[in-house]
Amino acid sequence: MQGRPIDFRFHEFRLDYEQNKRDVFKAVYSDPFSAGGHMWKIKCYPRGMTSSDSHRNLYVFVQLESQPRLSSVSAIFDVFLMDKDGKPTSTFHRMTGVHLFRKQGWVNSRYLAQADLTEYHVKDGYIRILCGIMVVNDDSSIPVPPSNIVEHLGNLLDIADGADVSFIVGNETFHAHRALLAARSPVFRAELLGSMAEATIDVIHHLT
Amino acid sequence: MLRFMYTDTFPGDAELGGCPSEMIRHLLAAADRYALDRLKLFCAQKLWDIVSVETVGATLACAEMYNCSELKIKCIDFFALEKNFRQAVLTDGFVQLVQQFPSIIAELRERPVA
Repeated sequence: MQGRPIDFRFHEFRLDYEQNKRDVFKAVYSDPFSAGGHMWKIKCYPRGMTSSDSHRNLYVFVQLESQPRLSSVSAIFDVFLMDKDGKPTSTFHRMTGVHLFRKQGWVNSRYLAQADLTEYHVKDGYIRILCGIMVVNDDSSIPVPPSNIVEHLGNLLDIADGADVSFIVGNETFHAHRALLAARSPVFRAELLGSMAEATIDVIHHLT
Repeated sequence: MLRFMYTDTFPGDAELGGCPSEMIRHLLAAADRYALDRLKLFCAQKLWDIVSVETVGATLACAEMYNCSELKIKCIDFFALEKNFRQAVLTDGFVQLVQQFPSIIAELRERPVA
Protein backbone atom coordinates (compact mmCIF):
# COMPACT_ATOMS: atom_id res chain seq x y z
CA MET A 1 0.00 0.00 0.00
CA GLN A 2 1.41 3.32 -1.08
CA GLY A 3 1.24 6.59 0.77
CA ARG A 4 0.26 7.31 4.31
CA PRO A 5 -0.63 4.30 6.43
CA ILE A 6 -3.97 3.92 8.12
CA ASP A 7 -4.89 6.61 10.62
CA PHE A 8 -7.80 6.25 13.02
CA ARG A 9 -9.34 9.01 15.14
CA PHE A 10 -12.31 9.28 17.40
CA HIS A 11 -14.16 12.52 17.76
CA GLU A 12 -16.82 13.13 20.36
CA PHE A 13 -19.55 15.58 19.49
CA ARG A 14 -21.71 16.85 22.34
CA LEU A 15 -24.94 17.88 20.68
CA ASP A 16 -27.04 20.40 22.57
CA TYR A 17 -30.41 18.78 22.02
CA GLU A 18 -32.47 21.27 24.04
CA GLN A 19 -31.09 24.34 22.35
CA ASN A 20 -32.04 22.98 18.96
CA LYS A 21 -35.62 22.39 20.00
CA ARG A 22 -37.02 24.92 17.59
CA ASP A 23 -34.48 24.28 14.87
CA VAL A 24 -36.32 21.44 13.20
CA PHE A 25 -34.95 20.34 9.83
CA LYS A 26 -31.77 22.35 10.37
CA ALA A 27 -28.17 21.14 10.30
CA VAL A 28 -25.70 21.58 13.18
CA TYR A 29 -21.95 21.20 12.75
CA SER A 30 -19.20 20.04 15.11
CA ASP A 31 -15.87 21.81 15.39
CA PRO A 32 -13.48 20.64 12.71
CA PHE A 33 -11.06 17.88 13.71
CA SER A 34 -8.11 16.24 12.04
CA ALA A 35 -7.70 12.63 10.94
CA GLY A 36 -5.23 11.25 8.45
CA GLY A 37 -3.98 14.73 7.61
CA HIS A 38 -7.43 16.00 6.58
CA MET A 39 -10.00 18.14 8.32
CA TRP A 40 -13.42 16.69 9.01
CA LYS A 41 -16.69 17.89 10.51
CA ILE A 42 -19.66 16.07 11.94
CA LYS A 43 -22.92 17.31 10.49
CA CYS A 44 -26.15 16.56 12.36
CA TYR A 45 -29.80 17.05 11.78
CA PRO A 46 -31.01 16.80 15.39
CA ARG A 47 -34.72 16.94 14.54
CA GLY A 48 -35.34 15.69 11.07
CA MET A 49 -33.95 16.58 7.68
CA THR A 50 -37.09 17.41 5.70
CA SER A 51 -40.60 18.43 6.62
CA SER A 52 -41.88 14.98 5.62
CA ASP A 53 -39.94 13.52 8.58
CA SER A 54 -42.68 13.15 11.16
CA HIS A 55 -40.48 11.23 13.64
CA ARG A 56 -37.99 14.11 13.91
CA ASN A 57 -35.15 11.66 13.31
CA LEU A 58 -31.55 12.37 14.23
CA TYR A 59 -29.20 12.03 11.28
CA VAL A 60 -25.42 12.11 11.55
CA PHE A 61 -23.04 12.69 8.66
CA VAL A 62 -19.33 13.10 8.35
CA GLN A 63 -18.04 15.64 5.93
CA LEU A 64 -14.58 16.19 4.50
CA GLU A 65 -13.67 19.83 4.99
CA SER A 66 -10.29 20.13 3.35
CA GLN A 67 -9.58 19.82 -0.34
CA PRO A 68 -7.86 16.52 -1.19
CA ARG A 69 -4.58 17.37 -2.92
CA LEU A 70 -5.09 15.04 -5.86
CA SER A 71 -8.46 13.39 -6.10
CA SER A 72 -10.16 11.86 -3.11
CA VAL A 73 -9.61 10.36 0.35
CA SER A 74 -10.61 6.79 1.19
CA ALA A 75 -12.09 6.52 4.64
CA ILE A 76 -14.44 4.47 6.79
CA PHE A 77 -16.90 6.27 9.02
CA ASP A 78 -18.22 4.77 12.23
CA VAL A 79 -20.77 6.35 14.55
CA PHE A 80 -22.52 5.42 17.76
CA LEU A 81 -24.37 7.14 20.58
CA MET A 82 -23.72 7.06 24.30
CA ASP A 83 -26.60 6.07 26.57
CA LYS A 84 -27.57 8.03 29.67
CA ASP A 85 -24.93 6.22 31.74
CA GLY A 86 -22.19 7.22 29.34
CA LYS A 87 -21.85 3.74 27.86
CA PRO A 88 -21.67 3.20 24.12
CA THR A 89 -24.78 1.65 22.57
CA SER A 90 -25.33 -0.15 19.31
CA THR A 91 -28.87 1.06 18.59
CA PHE A 92 -27.51 3.75 16.32
CA HIS A 93 -24.28 2.05 15.39
CA ARG A 94 -23.33 2.07 11.81
CA MET A 95 -20.06 1.47 10.04
CA THR A 96 -19.80 2.42 6.42
CA GLY A 97 -17.70 0.54 3.97
CA VAL A 98 -14.74 2.31 2.46
CA HIS A 99 -16.01 5.54 1.04
CA LEU A 100 -14.26 7.89 -1.35
CA PHE A 101 -14.52 11.41 0.00
CA ARG A 102 -14.15 14.39 -2.25
CA LYS A 103 -14.29 18.05 -1.24
CA GLN A 104 -17.36 18.48 0.94
CA GLY A 105 -18.19 14.86 0.31
CA TRP A 106 -20.16 13.19 3.04
CA VAL A 107 -21.55 9.88 4.13
CA ASN A 108 -24.52 9.40 6.36
CA SER A 109 -25.32 7.24 9.33
CA ARG A 110 -28.49 5.47 10.38
CA TYR A 111 -31.22 7.64 11.87
CA LEU A 112 -32.99 7.52 15.21
CA ALA A 113 -36.39 8.95 16.16
CA GLN A 114 -36.88 11.72 18.69
CA ALA A 115 -38.86 9.50 21.06
CA ASP A 116 -36.01 6.97 21.37
CA LEU A 117 -33.41 9.70 21.72
CA THR A 118 -35.23 11.34 24.59
CA GLU A 119 -35.82 8.05 26.34
CA TYR A 120 -32.34 6.54 26.05
CA HIS A 121 -29.77 9.11 25.07
CA VAL A 122 -30.45 12.68 26.15
CA LYS A 123 -28.65 13.52 29.38
CA ASP A 124 -28.65 17.04 30.85
CA GLY A 125 -29.93 18.26 27.50
CA TYR A 126 -27.03 16.77 25.53
CA ILE A 127 -26.50 13.79 23.27
CA ARG A 128 -22.98 12.39 23.12
CA ILE A 129 -22.15 11.22 19.62
CA LEU A 130 -18.90 9.34 19.04
CA CYS A 131 -17.59 9.27 15.53
CA GLY A 132 -14.63 7.31 14.26
CA ILE A 133 -12.85 8.11 11.04
CA MET A 134 -10.45 5.59 9.60
CA VAL A 135 -8.47 7.06 6.76
CA VAL A 136 -7.50 3.99 4.82
CA ASN A 137 -5.19 5.25 2.16
CA ASP A 138 -4.13 8.56 0.82
CA ASP A 139 -1.98 8.37 -2.29
CA SER A 140 -1.45 12.08 -2.38
CA SER A 141 0.66 12.31 0.78
CA ILE A 142 4.40 11.81 1.15
CA PRO A 143 5.12 9.09 3.72
CA VAL A 144 7.42 9.67 6.68
CA PRO A 145 8.77 6.54 8.40
CA PRO A 146 8.04 6.00 12.09
CA SER A 147 10.29 7.62 14.68
CA ASN A 148 13.73 6.07 15.11
CA ILE A 149 15.13 8.34 17.81
CA VAL A 150 14.91 5.48 20.34
CA GLU A 151 17.09 3.27 18.16
CA HIS A 152 19.60 6.05 17.57
CA LEU A 153 19.91 7.02 21.23
CA GLY A 154 20.18 3.32 22.15
CA ASN A 155 23.11 3.05 19.74
CA LEU A 156 24.67 6.10 21.34
CA LEU A 157 24.64 4.29 24.69
CA ASP A 158 26.00 1.05 23.20
CA ILE A 159 28.79 2.60 21.15
CA ALA A 160 29.54 5.38 23.66
CA ASP A 161 30.74 7.82 20.98
CA GLY A 162 31.78 11.05 22.60
CA ALA A 163 31.05 9.75 26.09
CA ASP A 164 32.26 12.14 28.77
CA VAL A 165 31.27 10.48 32.02
CA SER A 166 31.56 6.94 33.38
CA PHE A 167 29.73 4.86 35.94
CA ILE A 168 31.59 2.24 37.92
CA VAL A 169 29.19 -0.38 39.26
CA GLY A 170 31.07 -3.16 41.00
CA ASN A 171 33.58 -4.37 38.44
CA GLU A 172 31.75 -2.96 35.46
CA THR A 173 32.14 0.43 33.80
CA PHE A 174 29.41 2.14 31.78
CA HIS A 175 30.09 5.16 29.59
CA ALA A 176 27.52 7.91 29.13
CA HIS A 177 26.98 11.49 28.02
CA ARG A 178 26.54 14.16 30.66
CA ALA A 179 24.31 16.34 28.47
CA LEU A 180 21.82 13.52 28.01
CA LEU A 181 21.85 12.57 31.69
CA ALA A 182 21.28 16.19 32.64
CA ALA A 183 18.42 16.49 30.16
CA ARG A 184 16.67 13.48 31.68
CA SER A 185 17.33 13.92 35.39
CA PRO A 186 17.32 17.11 37.47
CA VAL A 187 19.62 15.38 39.94
CA PHE A 188 22.20 14.66 37.25
CA ARG A 189 21.82 18.21 35.96
CA ALA A 190 22.77 19.58 39.36
CA GLU A 191 25.57 17.07 39.83
CA LEU A 192 27.09 17.34 36.38
CA LEU A 193 26.28 20.79 35.00
CA GLY A 194 25.12 23.02 37.82
CA SER A 195 27.19 25.64 39.58
CA MET A 196 27.67 23.20 42.44
CA ALA A 197 29.05 20.61 40.06
CA GLU A 198 32.64 19.68 39.86
CA ALA A 199 33.33 20.46 36.25
CA THR A 200 36.03 17.88 36.19
CA ILE A 201 33.97 15.00 37.59
CA ASP A 202 34.18 12.14 35.17
CA VAL A 203 33.56 9.03 37.22
CA ILE A 204 30.44 8.30 39.26
CA HIS A 205 30.62 5.52 41.78
CA HIS A 206 27.31 3.83 42.07
CA LEU A 207 26.67 1.26 44.72
CA THR A 208 23.55 -0.60 43.65
CA MET B 1 18.65 2.79 34.32
CA LEU B 2 20.93 4.20 31.65
CA ARG B 3 19.04 2.22 29.02
CA PHE B 4 15.81 3.82 30.17
CA MET B 5 17.37 7.29 30.19
CA TYR B 6 18.55 6.92 26.60
CA THR B 7 15.60 5.08 25.09
CA ASP B 8 12.62 5.55 27.44
CA THR B 9 12.05 1.80 27.36
CA PHE B 10 11.72 -0.55 30.33
CA PRO B 11 13.97 -3.64 30.36
CA GLY B 12 12.38 -6.88 29.17
CA ASP B 13 12.06 -10.01 31.29
CA ALA B 14 15.33 -11.43 29.97
CA GLU B 15 17.31 -8.40 31.12
CA LEU B 16 15.73 -8.41 34.56
CA GLY B 17 17.28 -11.81 35.29
CA GLY B 18 16.09 -14.64 37.48
CA CYS B 19 14.71 -12.51 40.29
CA PRO B 20 12.83 -9.68 38.57
CA SER B 21 11.22 -8.24 41.70
CA GLU B 22 14.60 -7.69 43.36
CA MET B 23 16.01 -6.15 40.17
CA ILE B 24 13.00 -3.84 39.83
CA ARG B 25 13.39 -2.75 43.48
CA HIS B 26 17.01 -1.78 42.75
CA LEU B 27 15.84 0.07 39.66
CA LEU B 28 13.19 1.90 41.69
CA ALA B 29 15.87 2.92 44.19
CA ALA B 30 18.04 4.34 41.40
CA ALA B 31 15.05 6.05 39.76
CA ASP B 32 14.21 7.75 43.05
CA ARG B 33 17.84 8.77 43.61
CA TYR B 34 17.94 10.55 40.23
CA ALA B 35 14.34 11.80 40.19
CA LEU B 36 13.28 9.77 37.13
CA ASP B 37 9.57 9.90 37.88
CA ARG B 38 8.43 8.03 34.80
CA LEU B 39 10.84 5.17 35.48
CA LYS B 40 9.60 5.04 39.08
CA LEU B 41 6.03 4.57 37.89
CA PHE B 42 7.16 1.90 35.43
CA CYS B 43 8.80 0.06 38.33
CA ALA B 44 5.73 0.52 40.51
CA GLN B 45 3.52 -0.87 37.76
CA LYS B 46 5.72 -3.96 37.36
CA LEU B 47 5.97 -4.57 41.11
CA TRP B 48 2.21 -4.24 41.43
CA ASP B 49 1.69 -6.66 38.51
CA ILE B 50 3.63 -9.40 40.34
CA VAL B 51 2.47 -8.62 43.89
CA SER B 52 1.47 -11.57 46.10
CA VAL B 53 0.99 -12.26 49.81
CA GLU B 54 4.67 -13.30 49.89
CA THR B 55 6.02 -10.10 48.33
CA VAL B 56 3.61 -7.40 49.45
CA GLY B 57 5.54 -6.69 52.67
CA ALA B 58 8.81 -6.12 50.86
CA THR B 59 7.05 -4.17 48.10
CA LEU B 60 5.35 -1.87 50.59
CA ALA B 61 8.65 -1.26 52.38
CA CYS B 62 10.19 -0.40 49.03
CA ALA B 63 7.33 1.98 48.15
CA GLU B 64 7.73 3.73 51.50
CA MET B 65 11.51 3.95 51.26
CA TYR B 66 11.55 5.39 47.74
CA ASN B 67 8.56 7.71 48.02
CA CYS B 68 6.28 5.93 45.64
CA SER B 69 2.83 6.84 46.91
CA GLU B 70 0.96 5.21 44.00
CA LEU B 71 2.45 1.81 44.83
CA LYS B 72 2.06 2.35 48.56
CA ILE B 73 -1.69 2.99 48.28
CA LYS B 74 -2.17 -0.14 46.18
CA CYS B 75 -0.21 -2.27 48.65
CA ILE B 76 -2.18 -0.97 51.63
CA ASP B 77 -5.43 -1.75 49.77
CA PHE B 78 -4.07 -5.23 49.12
CA PHE B 79 -3.26 -5.70 52.81
CA ALA B 80 -6.74 -4.59 53.76
CA LEU B 81 -8.28 -7.66 52.16
CA GLU B 82 -8.59 -10.03 55.08
CA LYS B 83 -7.57 -13.17 53.24
CA ASN B 84 -4.35 -11.46 52.13
CA PHE B 85 -3.66 -9.90 55.51
CA ARG B 86 -3.68 -13.21 57.41
CA GLN B 87 -1.00 -14.68 55.17
CA ALA B 88 1.05 -11.56 54.58
CA VAL B 89 1.65 -10.79 58.28
CA LEU B 90 3.51 -14.11 58.60
CA THR B 91 6.14 -13.32 55.95
CA ASP B 92 9.71 -12.15 56.60
CA GLY B 93 9.01 -9.20 54.36
CA PHE B 94 6.29 -8.00 56.71
CA VAL B 95 8.48 -8.39 59.79
CA GLN B 96 11.19 -6.30 58.13
CA LEU B 97 8.61 -3.75 57.03
CA VAL B 98 7.45 -3.25 60.61
CA GLN B 99 11.03 -2.94 61.87
CA GLN B 100 11.96 -0.39 59.22
CA PHE B 101 8.74 1.63 59.13
CA PRO B 102 6.76 1.28 62.37
CA SER B 103 4.50 4.11 61.25
CA ILE B 104 3.06 1.87 58.50
CA ILE B 105 1.24 -0.07 61.22
CA ALA B 106 -0.73 3.03 62.13
CA GLU B 107 -1.68 3.51 58.47
CA LEU B 108 -2.79 -0.10 58.18
CA ARG B 109 -4.81 0.24 61.37
CA GLU B 110 -6.69 3.26 59.99
CA ARG B 111 -7.66 1.22 56.98
CA PRO B 112 -10.63 -1.02 57.91
CA VAL B 113 -10.00 -4.65 57.06
CA ALA B 114 -12.54 -5.73 54.49
